[in-house]
Amino acid sequence: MLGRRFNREILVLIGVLVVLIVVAAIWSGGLFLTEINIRNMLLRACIVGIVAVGQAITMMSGGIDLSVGGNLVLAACIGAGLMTPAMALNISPGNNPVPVAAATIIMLLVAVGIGTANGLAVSRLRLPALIATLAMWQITYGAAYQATTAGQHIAPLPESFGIFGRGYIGVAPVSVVIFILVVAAAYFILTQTTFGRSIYAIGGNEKSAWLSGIDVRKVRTLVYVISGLCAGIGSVVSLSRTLVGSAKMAAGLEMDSIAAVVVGGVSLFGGKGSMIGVLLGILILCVMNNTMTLMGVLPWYQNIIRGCVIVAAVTASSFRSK
Amino acid sequence: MSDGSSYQQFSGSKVRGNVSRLARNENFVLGAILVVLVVMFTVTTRGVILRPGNVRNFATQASVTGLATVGQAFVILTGGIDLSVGGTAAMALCLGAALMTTTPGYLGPIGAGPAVLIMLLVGAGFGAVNGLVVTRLRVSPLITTLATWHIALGLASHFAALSTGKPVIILELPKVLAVMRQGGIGGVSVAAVVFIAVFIIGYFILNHTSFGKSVYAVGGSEASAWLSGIKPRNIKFWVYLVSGLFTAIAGLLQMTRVLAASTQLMGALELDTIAAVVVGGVSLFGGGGNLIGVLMGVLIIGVANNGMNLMGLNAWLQNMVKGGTIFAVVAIDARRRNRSGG
Repeated sequence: MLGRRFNREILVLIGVLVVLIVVAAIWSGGLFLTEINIRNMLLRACIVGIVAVGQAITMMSGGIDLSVGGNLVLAACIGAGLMTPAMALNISPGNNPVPVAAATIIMLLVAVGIGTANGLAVSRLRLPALIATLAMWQITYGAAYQATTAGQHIAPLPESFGIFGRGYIGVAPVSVVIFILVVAAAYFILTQTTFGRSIYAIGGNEKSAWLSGIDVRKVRTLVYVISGLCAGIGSVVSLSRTLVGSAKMAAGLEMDSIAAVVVGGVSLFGGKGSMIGVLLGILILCVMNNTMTLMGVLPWYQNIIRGCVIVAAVTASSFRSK
Repeated sequence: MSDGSSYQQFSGSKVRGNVSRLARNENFVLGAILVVLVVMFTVTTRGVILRPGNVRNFATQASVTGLATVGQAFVILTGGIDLSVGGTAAMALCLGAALMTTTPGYLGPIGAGPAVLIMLLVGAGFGAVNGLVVTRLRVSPLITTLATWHIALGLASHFAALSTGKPVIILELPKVLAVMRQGGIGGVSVAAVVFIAVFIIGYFILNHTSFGKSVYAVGGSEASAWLSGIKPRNIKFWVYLVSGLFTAIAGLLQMTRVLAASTQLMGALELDTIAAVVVGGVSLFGGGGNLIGVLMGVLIIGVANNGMNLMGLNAWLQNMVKGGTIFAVVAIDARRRNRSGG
């Protein structure tokens, strides 16, 4: 229902994506289109994408979650430490590795816990989302680095854990399947449930939402819980892909997720945006990242370009809504 | 981010009296906290923190952070925020170093004087870009400065990587810069003198000029400010420019401390400046707070940093502590506002 309103913007995004792919293919002399590259890109896109879905939901309600990177890293390090009695982080009880299933659940719980803390801070303590998640970002990153003694790697992780990031269901990589499921779930929630509609309502105009009987506080808390959950899922997939736990895993993730969401048409002030747009935003961003890396653009130039893209996308969206 | 319920509505001289009374009270509390902190760290570092060498070190470091904090305070007072300070400082610093260094492959060497001037111009220019994007393109300060932070850091890496293709530490800078580090007026390092001078100027502007009053007005309630003839857009533009300029000066001071430049040098600046501003009693919602409190905040954060360093706590733990502090202080501030009719 809400997706239909943004038809023109969706078309623009699809156009941009197609143009980008064409440019990438030509510029890289066809390298972009090789199977290896596309597979790498999709795998990376899944992780950014899962996190971006959570970020999108948060931003649609008018908030923002800067802590996703730290959240992911902390959950990953805790999970890794549990599964491997390694030197860097030894929290496996009695030096016995915790079974993979249990560790995975604990990772998700940690991430959800952090998300809940964010949500409570924003809704109950009335902290501005920026500050709360900024502080949480520092806290989680700090904890992760601290726990892994300044960025050492935790390896090797048990092979069985690799199913999330490396396994295949038939032809499709498990991580892609997980990503599609997450996007589908978010789409369903946003368009078919009252909860989803209340997210848009709060983002659009908090007072009106309050007056129409929506429990603003609860919804506000829940969007951050969702963001935390997405960070947790992303953490599982990411850790499972590399099978190495390290506090440096998620460098730039918060920027990527915000960029993807903003490019996808979600307004920063909340109340607007669709999952389809976000999906396209994720793809656009990942194509861009992948192409730049493929062509050897140095990391800091990529940062510059990403920053400009964010500003351009936000400006475009604010002009559109006038 | 600004509503009309700040406890320092601007309405003339009566408020001035209230403001100074309130200011004295809160700042007294901050001063007490500072004393407690110093005592605590004296115990945990076994007196090392009070050694003259350390005190001078502390003064220089606190001056660097303090400079950027003054700029940040101006921005936050109008209800905005500047997340890009770390990046802008690093960029100005790396650009300046690239201009001044005698290591082959960079942009120089040119004299220290012109290089410093360029650094300041670049810093102010970057701040101006922030200001323009926030006021003309109407992008939220959060996203803007988040993006410009990364852009600035990227540029910093660019300058740092000029000779080797990878961002390295730029050395071989003119010795004349080291004068900042030494004792200047009465044993106080020149860096501290610069900070004090800038602070006094900032204080004067904020409390005794119409621009300063406009800053408070815009932060308190943009609509009211507009109605009383102030142009919030212009005010906001200028505070971002000022923040960029002060940040560049901070970068300059930091460079003179270590006589080297790298992208890592200004790492925790955004966290430190926000923490100092917040601890100093400036409300994140704009319109409330004063520079004396900010000074206290700078000192408190500075002592905390210094103490934690001496205790051997690594950077990540320190960031955790600072993050937690911001959390706690803003939460208290938010509760106070809600209870007093927010």
